Amino acid sequence: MASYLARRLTLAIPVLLGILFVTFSLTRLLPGDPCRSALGEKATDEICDAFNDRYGLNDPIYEQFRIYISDVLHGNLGESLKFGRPVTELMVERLPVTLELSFFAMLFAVTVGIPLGVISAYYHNSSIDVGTMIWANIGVSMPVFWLGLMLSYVFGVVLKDTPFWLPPTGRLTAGQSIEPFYVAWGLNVDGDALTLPGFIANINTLNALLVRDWDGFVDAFKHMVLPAIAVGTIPLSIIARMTRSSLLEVLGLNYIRTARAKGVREMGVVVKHGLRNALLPVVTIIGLSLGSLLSGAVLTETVFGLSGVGRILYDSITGRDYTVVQAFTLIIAVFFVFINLIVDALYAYLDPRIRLE
Amino acid sequence: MIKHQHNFQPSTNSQPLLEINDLRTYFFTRDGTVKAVDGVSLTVERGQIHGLVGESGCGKSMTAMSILRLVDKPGRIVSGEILFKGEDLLKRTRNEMTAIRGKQISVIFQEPKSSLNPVLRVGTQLLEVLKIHEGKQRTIKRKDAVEQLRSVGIPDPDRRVENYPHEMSGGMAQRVMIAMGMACAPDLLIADEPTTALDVTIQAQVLDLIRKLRDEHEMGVILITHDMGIVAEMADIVTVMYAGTAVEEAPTVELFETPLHPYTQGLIASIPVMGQVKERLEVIPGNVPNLIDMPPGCRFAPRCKARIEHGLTRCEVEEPHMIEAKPNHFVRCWLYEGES
Amino acid sequence: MESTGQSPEVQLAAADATVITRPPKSLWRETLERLLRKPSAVVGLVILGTLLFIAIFAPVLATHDPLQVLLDVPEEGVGKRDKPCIHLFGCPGAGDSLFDATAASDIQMAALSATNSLISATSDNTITIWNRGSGKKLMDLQADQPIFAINWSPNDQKILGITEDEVIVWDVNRRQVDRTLENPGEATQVKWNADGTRFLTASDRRVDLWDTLSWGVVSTIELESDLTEVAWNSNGTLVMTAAGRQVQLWNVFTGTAVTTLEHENPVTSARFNRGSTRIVTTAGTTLHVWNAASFAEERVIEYDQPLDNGAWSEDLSRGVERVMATSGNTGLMWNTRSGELLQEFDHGAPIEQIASSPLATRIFTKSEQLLRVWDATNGEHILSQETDGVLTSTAWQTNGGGILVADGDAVNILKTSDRQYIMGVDGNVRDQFSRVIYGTRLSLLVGLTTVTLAVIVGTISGAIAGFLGGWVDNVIMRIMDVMLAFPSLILAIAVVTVLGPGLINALTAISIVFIPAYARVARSGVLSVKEEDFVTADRALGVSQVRILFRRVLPNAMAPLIVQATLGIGTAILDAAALSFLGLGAQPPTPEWGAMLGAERNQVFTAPHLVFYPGIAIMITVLAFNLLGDGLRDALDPRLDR
Repeated sequence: MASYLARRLTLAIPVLLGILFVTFSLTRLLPGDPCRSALGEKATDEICDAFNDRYGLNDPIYEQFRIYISDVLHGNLGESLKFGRPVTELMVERLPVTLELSFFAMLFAVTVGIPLGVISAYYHNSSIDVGTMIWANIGVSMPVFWLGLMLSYVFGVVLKDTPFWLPPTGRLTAGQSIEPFYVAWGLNVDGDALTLPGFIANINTLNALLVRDWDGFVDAFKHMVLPAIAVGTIPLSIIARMTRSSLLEVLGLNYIRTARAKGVREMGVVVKHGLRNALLPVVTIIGLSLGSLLSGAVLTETVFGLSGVGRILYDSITGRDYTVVQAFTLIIAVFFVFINLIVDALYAYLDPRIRLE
Repeated sequence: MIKHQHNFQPSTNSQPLLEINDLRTYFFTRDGTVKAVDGVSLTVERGQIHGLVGESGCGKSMTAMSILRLVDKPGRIVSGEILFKGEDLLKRTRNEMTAIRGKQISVIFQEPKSSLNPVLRVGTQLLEVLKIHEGKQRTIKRKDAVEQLRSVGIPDPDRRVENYPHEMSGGMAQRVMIAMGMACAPDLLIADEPTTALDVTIQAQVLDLIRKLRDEHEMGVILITHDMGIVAEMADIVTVMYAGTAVEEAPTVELFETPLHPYTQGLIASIPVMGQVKERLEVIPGNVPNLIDMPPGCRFAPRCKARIEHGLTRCEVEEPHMIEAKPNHFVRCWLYEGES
Repeated sequence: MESTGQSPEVQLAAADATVITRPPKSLWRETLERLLRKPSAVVGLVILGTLLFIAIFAPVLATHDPLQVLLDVPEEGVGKRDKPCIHLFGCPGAGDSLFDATAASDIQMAALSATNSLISATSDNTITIWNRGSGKKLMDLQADQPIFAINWSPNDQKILGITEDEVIVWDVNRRQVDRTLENPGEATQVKWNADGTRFLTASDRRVDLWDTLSWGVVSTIELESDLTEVAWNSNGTLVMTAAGRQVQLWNVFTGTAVTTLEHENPVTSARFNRGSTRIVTTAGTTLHVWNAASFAEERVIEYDQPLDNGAWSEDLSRGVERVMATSGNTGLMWNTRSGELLQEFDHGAPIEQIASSPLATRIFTKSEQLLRVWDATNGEHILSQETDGVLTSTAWQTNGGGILVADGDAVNILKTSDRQYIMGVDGNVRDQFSRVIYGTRLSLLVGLTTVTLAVIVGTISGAIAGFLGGWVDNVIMRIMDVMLAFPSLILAIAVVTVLGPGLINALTAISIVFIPAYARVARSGVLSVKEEDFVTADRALGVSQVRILFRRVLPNAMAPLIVQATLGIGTAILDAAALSFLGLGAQPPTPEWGAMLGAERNQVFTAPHLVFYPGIAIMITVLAFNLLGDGLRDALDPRLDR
């Protein structure tokens, strides 16, 4: 098991290097002058010279790359060219939003998708099966931003005066806020130490739970519902279909027959024997879905007015904010590689046959 | 050819352990109705090994599955009786059947490695059977599994209990299957081609094991195979199946000495014998018929040399019935029927 | 009985062998059959066929030009973001009512407020006001005496009314009287100027000009004959009076006459045009067009019958300059510049009023109990409305889509336009239905081109990688891995930002992003076949690598590729729509569904139809490709009979 993981890790390194390289070059390829994008068209050449000097943009390319790599390895992600603030600060603000959204979206997708897939597989070819699969197909065909807009219309306007109303934008009701947990707990944190607690505190639902602010939790949660559904619908459909097809395949295998012949009850056959095997490819799918989650996040954050990673990525790409693009893309890519590693590890844990490879 | 003595004595209990009467299992597919089992009757006594022999696709496995009512859609048991210890299994509820499976009737299958759940340890799967059927009476412990493995002759069972199926050889996996099947001391064991996927040497070991367990527990065994040699060695009584029906049934020695049905004769004749000198192997000409569009009359008729030789015309028109041509020797053939 | 040297199929079995074997069908035929057996695949194919049909026949199916802004063209009654209007579902057509209400008693005068959002009807002492949009009655304003006339202020805030003794100013918002002023000498008319800073009251021989700061009379105009017409010009500097044979223009501040336009006969009507650049007067059988700046007479038009009701029909942006008048039962329209008689409208009854729609595409003629609407360009009769009671007031709506009609105690707005907007109208006043139809072309094109490009490049690289193996394989696959490490949309956004926004660049970006997926599929297909015996056999026989690649290896990788490609088309369409939604793909006014959605994203709460229809179109298209892809996957893999 350990050697398997170690092997996977070493394979990941060239990929990471490649990502660093691509991120770096891609930003340099962006047309447009970062200085003038940040400071405005009227910036004079002198000002821009100083700007470029300050951000090391006047150095030769290989020098920039070298500095970049060493910076990254030291944990310094640079300053945003546009805001002048350290990128890590921006990350503390933005990453939790997307993480929270992704978490709830995945939760939604998994808790609804897997049971649906199981039911469909078990009642194979019945009307439930056909119906669910049609819906799953529709779910995969919908544009995320359209779903988000329609949901916010239905729940924000049509159901306005009903108990089903859900807020169409934002993370919290205007004017509301939740006390950061480190304040409530009387922890004294500031400066650099603020990073991790600040990060955690920005996850509104978690923070509310930590502080036992139940109203705040409900408020934050309510604001998460629509975006989570919008983002999670596509992974849900994919997971449901994958679970179904995987379970169908498994249920036709010999050991299922053995389990039945042993006198295992139907539920046990399906869940303990069937699902345990069938979920393996689903785990991979969940890992892969995170990619679509992030793409969905970019679009959904725009629709629902959340300032998360997707939003800032889009803004900084179009705004030529090199450092931010580099840093965030790097973080996302590293995140993915990490997630893939975890998925691989999980897979190996679940399927003992893989460990031999 | 026949190496072992058959020590079968009918038990004092007059009621047979298993009695199948005219079982029919059909598959209702898009292309037509496949009559996989079309009128099979057989009896198994306690302590008796009943061999079920025939070509691939003749319905032997499906008969076994029907006994346990493990027939999947689009198949259905259409008619018949399966009397197990006097009670018709076909009339039992699903819950009752679940309780019977693994406890009173067990099955072992052809491909042992793929018949075990690959993600669970062997010990876990063994304990599962025990927990289901005996979990209420006593606490099942790990050493129960170890004991089971030992009883089927697996060396170093304490370590093997932690193995995954893919870490075992085919023979060992089959032993595990047998251990699972025997765990609750069933009254009837159905062995569906237990040695087909194994090497010849392992084959012998597994067969020995089955026989030993039968001796120890006095359980009935249905041994399904296409290998006449295994039948000759193991079975007390043999039923020969062809295209969904039983065509001959007799005690083993009797069957091999005087096979009555032309199909059985062909089967036996096609076994190569060491020391015999021949130019060609004997074969039965033609192919097994399509189970959907079966022609009327005897199913074997198209391939039957005897029909031509004896000039019988009834074979292609009407299906013969299973009659007792000799004491305890049943056959379904117009050669022996139709004096009336 | 003896075994012969032949195969087992001996003659004796041949006679009654009922062995049935089917001749093998070609792979494609069999795949197609299996495909058609699956209902979902059939549905997908049907939808795709329909989409293809729509794409090809778009010009025929669309009701309008997708790029045409409907305000610029003779399409009236259309506003920004109008909700879908389908006659079949109860949307009113020409001749139907847009608004329907009844007053307490017979209406003397009805009017639309300046912004057209309110409607007033005056009967005796009461002014009833309704909300035009909702149809709800808002208020009743009372006076002590019967009201002769009212006039809405330019911003709907106030209403001026004249009774026998008083001039009343009502505040509409507060629903009460703001102030009352003394009626200076039996005035019967009241009119605001264009910005609401002043108003005039007029009796037979006297016009008083009031100021709203002091609420007093600023100047008074005395006339020698009875007043026929009085009106403000558009910037409120002049007041025009027509009395006897004279039309005079008065300086508002001083109350002195600036000029007098003399006529041979008594003036029957006098009217400013919309910009107050011209004045039309009718007197006797002549119609005069005057320049309102220089007061020079531009044109005189002779007719053989007495003329009345001079009016304008102009749309200067389209170069339409016409002037109208009535003579008995006939309405007349001339070209102002050339004096040519353009149309004659036979009303059939003595015409009391002729008026042109704001964009001069239609005119109505009104007699005592009959209203007729005409097409202004070709003189065709559009519709007629007969009333039981007397038609008291008629006036065009500001957007030209309806005519306010009051007869008896009922007031309603008659719709004049018959166009349907099946999916409504977008923020640039373009017909959404036509845009959605044309969008089909774009989406299908986008899907097919991106996938084709990606498949070609991806398959070649993947096949090469799989076939050659070694470091080539490693390098190519690492590159693909790096590309796959980025979420596809982010990478696409990055590429588009490098290339610049636009549909072509978006296509390129998406193609690039899709390449790794197909490379992987091709590679795995190649790998799985590479070690097969028939390939080794070929190699041993000395067949060239390339031949092996193309004749043996690729056909086996085809099946998953086809499936992936079909599914990929759907994803490509979604990604293109997403890029356009963000503003990076198709640029306005291209009718691309994602772009249409993105442009109206902020109006979803007020105009959801603008978000719904393009989105549904995307969904149906992608669904069709997904269904087809799924069906292909099941049809091509004989193992899975799900």
